[in-house]
Amino acid sequence: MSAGSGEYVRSLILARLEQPIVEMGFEPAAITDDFDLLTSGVIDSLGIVELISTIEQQLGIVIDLSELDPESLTIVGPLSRYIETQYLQLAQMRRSA
Amino acid sequence: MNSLEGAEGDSEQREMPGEGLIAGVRNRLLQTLARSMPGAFTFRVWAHRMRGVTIGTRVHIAPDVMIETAYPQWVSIGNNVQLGTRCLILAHMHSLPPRRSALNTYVSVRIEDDAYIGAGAIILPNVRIGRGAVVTAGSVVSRSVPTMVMVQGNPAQPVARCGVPLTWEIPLKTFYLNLKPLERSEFAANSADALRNGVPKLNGDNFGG
Repeated sequence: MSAGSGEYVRSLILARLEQPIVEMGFEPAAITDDFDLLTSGVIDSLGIVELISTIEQQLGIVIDLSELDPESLTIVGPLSRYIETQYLQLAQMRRSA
Repeated sequence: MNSLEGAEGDSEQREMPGEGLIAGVRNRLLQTLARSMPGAFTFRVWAHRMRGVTIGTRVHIAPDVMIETAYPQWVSIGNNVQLGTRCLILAHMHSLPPRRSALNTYVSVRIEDDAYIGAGAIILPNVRIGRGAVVTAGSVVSRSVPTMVMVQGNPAQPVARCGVPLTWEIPLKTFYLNLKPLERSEFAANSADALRNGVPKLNGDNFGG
């Protein structure tokens, strides 16, 4: 699993939210890509902010969410892939700088 | 009528105005009707306006909202404001009446345009909720809230800056998408949870393939 890959980001999300996921009766290993963290009761508005902050710190980047479809913000798969795209873009920019 | 001498350097007499029996009964009847009758954008708004609350346009008042019982005229609500279920707005304290000369124009609680007050929130006297501010459910607001800031807790503390206001037309996820934490360092401790769960922390420059 390489740093910044969608799979890695997904693992960050699930690790960060493991406790509330379990508390809500879900099995972290069984979370699918279309799992909505908000409607499942795993996080609230501030939880999303905290989650993004944690991922930013873990990856060492600032995530620009302006191009993310709002509906995808709380869904594990699309959010992971969006952050992966952001990470790769920033990595390319840093290399060429 | 309750009257107090002003504090030092505030020689003007302060005074809690009387209510009057008929006005008081009418005021409370309308409050009771507004709490239980349907009409979040219509009847409830009308009823509170009749009580004396200043209310702008497109204001949504959920069921069981209590707006200052005795002195509703001391509450001002702007346009596009949402008041969540069972929120409570208090505008007077007997121990701190307004100055007598200011009674006609006195406003204790001012909720500005596009603000969102969550369910069960309590707004205490002498505060301003800034334009586009969000008070999360169950919070107790004891101090004024800046424009476009989200507050949470008891006492309510700023937790995030709102990129867009949480108005009736804005989808919730769009609002979330635009939230920015005020103190990112506050969340640093949370990263330790992820570390404990076996996810390696990356160096900021460690961009891999």
